[in-house]
Formats: sequence, C-alpha cells, structure tokens
Amino acid sequence: MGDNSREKLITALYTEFNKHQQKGEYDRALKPINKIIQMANDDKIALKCKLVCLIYLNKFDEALQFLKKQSAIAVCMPFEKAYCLYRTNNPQDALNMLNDVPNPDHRILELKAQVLYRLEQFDEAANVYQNIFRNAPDDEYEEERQTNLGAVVSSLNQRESDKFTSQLQ
Amino acid sequence: IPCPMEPVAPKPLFYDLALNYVQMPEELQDKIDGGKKDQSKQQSGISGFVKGLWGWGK
Repeated sequence: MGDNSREKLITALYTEFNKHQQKGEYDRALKPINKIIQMANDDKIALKCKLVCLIYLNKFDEALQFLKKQSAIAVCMPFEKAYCLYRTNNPQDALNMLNDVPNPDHRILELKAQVLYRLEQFDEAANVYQNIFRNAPDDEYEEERQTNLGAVVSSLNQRESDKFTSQLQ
Repeated sequence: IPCPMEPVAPKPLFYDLALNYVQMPEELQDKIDGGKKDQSKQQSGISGFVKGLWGWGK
C-alpha cells in the first residue's frame, strides 16, 4: 500500500470514528480506532481516543490495562488514569497520582476534590473546592459543584456532631 | 423483638463532575475528512445556533 492511500484510509477511519463518537456510539467507534492503532500503533491521537471511549463505556479495568501497555500516553494523561483509578475503587492511588501533577489544572483539582471526598478527607476536599471556586471556572457546572461542596460540608458537620454525641455518652 | 430504630443521616447528593472533563483530544479535528478549518467554522456556527436557542427563553 502506498503512503498516500494509507493516509487516505486512516483519514477515512478517523472520519468514521468521529461520526460514531459524536452520536455517543462508543462501542461502534472502537472498531475504526482499533484498526488505526493496528496500522499505526504509535498514533497518539488514536490511542487517546480509544482511552476516552473505554472510559465512556465504563470499562475502567480495561482502560487501566490499556494504559499499562501504552505507557507513552499514560504519562501525558494523568487525569484520565487517575479517573480510572477512582472509578475502580482505588482512590488512594488516584490521590497519589494527582498530587504528583505539577501545576494542576481545573480538571485535576475537580477530580482531586472528589477523590478526597471518597476518602472521607472532608477538610481537604473543602479546601480544594474553595480553591476551585476562588479561580471561578467559567463553566456550566457551577450548581453541581455547589451541591458537591454542600455534601462535603454536611459530612464535616455530621462528623463533628458524631464526635459530640460520643463524648456525651 | 427487633432493636429500636435509630435515625441515620442520609447520604448527601454528590455529582461526578470530573467525568465531564474526560474529552476526546482536540487534535481529532485535524485527522478527519475536511480538516480543521472547515470544522472550526462549522462548529462555531452550530454552537452559535445553540446559544441563540438558549437565549430565546430569557
């Protein structure tokens, strides 16, 4: 196969992939993306697309296996890897990863707050949410984020009142 | 006889917001038929239309 026709085929596969993923058909989208990876296993864009598909399909174990094999993208996708760890009930590993990210962006912080909540480290979770609100991210999730902060605060209160009750007894 | 019931605090509602930040790489647009130029034009057209729709109710 000439370089030109090979490139054309890859573009066609990407286009097919894109068509499916835009409709949310991630299982169908995996077929063309797997073909691309077979043809060019160093295509980082394809590898990233596949990882995102696996996450959308709730295949977190498979995503982690995939990242183990594809270490080249694992290093540049710490957010996605930590998210998979979080969803496979490994919040401590997720937290360790997130703490190692230099200059954490809003995605890292959002996930970190959720991981800390799962670990019942409510004080720290509240701190991270404060940090996120201080930098006022201009997205449409403001209300949901307020709800999450509310859950953190009420868990903190619950813990305090439990302590108080046990002291009384 | 069952032991007396005790009130338990309900588990608060908590959203998985981080999932929204899992997204396809932007470079995907460069790879598909039509390339980036056409696509970005088209996208701003579509999102402009959607924003227009949101504006209607206000």
